[in-house]
Amino acid sequence: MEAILTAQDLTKRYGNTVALSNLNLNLPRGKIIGLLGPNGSGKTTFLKLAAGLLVPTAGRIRVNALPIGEKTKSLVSYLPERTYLPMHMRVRETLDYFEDFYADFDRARANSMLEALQVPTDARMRELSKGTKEKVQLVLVMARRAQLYLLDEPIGGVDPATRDFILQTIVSNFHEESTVLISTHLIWDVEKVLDEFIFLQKGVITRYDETQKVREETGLSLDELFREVFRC
Amino acid sequence: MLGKLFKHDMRALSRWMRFVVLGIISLALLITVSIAIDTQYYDSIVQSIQVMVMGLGVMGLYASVIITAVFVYVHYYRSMFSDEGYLTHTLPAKSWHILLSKLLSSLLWMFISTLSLVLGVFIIAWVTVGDLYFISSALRSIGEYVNAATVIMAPADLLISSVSGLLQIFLAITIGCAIANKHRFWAAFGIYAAISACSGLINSIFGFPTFITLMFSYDDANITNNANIMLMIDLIKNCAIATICFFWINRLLKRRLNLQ
Repeated sequence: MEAILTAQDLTKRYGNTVALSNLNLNLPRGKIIGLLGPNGSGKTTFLKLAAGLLVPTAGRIRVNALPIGEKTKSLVSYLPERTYLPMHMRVRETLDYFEDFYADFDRARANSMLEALQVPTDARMRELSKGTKEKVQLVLVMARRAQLYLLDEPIGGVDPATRDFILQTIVSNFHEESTVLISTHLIWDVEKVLDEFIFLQKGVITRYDETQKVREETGLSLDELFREVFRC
Repeated sequence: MLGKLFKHDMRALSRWMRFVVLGIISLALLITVSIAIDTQYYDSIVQSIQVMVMGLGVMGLYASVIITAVFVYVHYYRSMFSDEGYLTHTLPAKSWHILLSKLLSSLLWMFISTLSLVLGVFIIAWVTVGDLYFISSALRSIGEYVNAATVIMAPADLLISSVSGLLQIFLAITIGCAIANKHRFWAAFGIYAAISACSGLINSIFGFPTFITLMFSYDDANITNNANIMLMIDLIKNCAIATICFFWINRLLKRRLNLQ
């Protein structure tokens, strides 16, 4: 099966700072993959390049064998690490917005997730706490039937109970045609759902492997391995 | 997709613009009432208040033009290059559709705002003068110097010059945000100054010869023809500037988008 995301000699520089350096990668379909690395390793930059928010300095990146553009954006569901919904919007208006623009948006699913998370749909975004705003964004992103989910720190700002709900949502939403790429620091929480992981350091992939295989080979959890590899 | 983008841009702009329009109408009514009240038998304090209300009202009407422009540019910046840009630029839409939607919604709201301002001034004039004869008289005087071509070209030039003006500022904001991570406002401001200088130079090159010709027009028909030539040249120039700006912005959005 063709890779859902490919990167060839992908490089991104911000002035003199190299964020990603000659990155080569093929992500398969039907996997939940962790994009792991210390701060400043290039995780967010990689996700933004795949989402079309940044343009590569060199090399190329493709989704479903297509260059990043209008068509790939209809296949990709991206959750940024910041609040990006207009603060004046009510929660139900954000649902209207996504329903308008994304043919794969499942409103009933979004409503049921919001209900489970006890998010008031009549509230304006500005009235919600930081954690609740993150929940709304995650619901919008996960309520799409996308082929590639790019989640940048999806569980960073929420309580442990909500983390479990989110991870459960990711697993239940997942189907064999879709791939979920999760960037996070909270490896202990996510490693139980990860099929594969990518270690990224200073813009270079240092390891791309199957989670279970590494656990069996090293006898370490992914969290322990991360701490060992990226020890300061 | 363009229709959906336009709908949401109109809705986003309406949050503030409806208050601007309401403010313009309210100020016009306030000025009208102030004029209508006969204060000659009241003391000087009441008369001073009347003058102050009228002065503030007129200033408010002037300010509404600036406020409208500021809201339009702030909306463009926020929806394209602040955190909200993450939402805009991940939509499955062509970059030129996104840009066109911003342009059309801004134009429409500026038109609504201008229309309400004209209506306000019209109400004030009506109450002050007492009848509308002066308007038909003024139109008759202008009518002596225009023909069918003028009637078509003058509104077209007004529209295209508005488009060109908007796009020049959109271009300055887009370049400012593409090249600067900090101090984006000042970067955009500097670039706009440069664009304005270029635009002014083009205006001088194209405008001066036709202006001189118009100055030495010897009869009404000659004045009309030369005025039409001036309008035509201005129209072509504004079309060219608007087109260049549009394609340049679109290219920057496709090739230099830099949402860090």
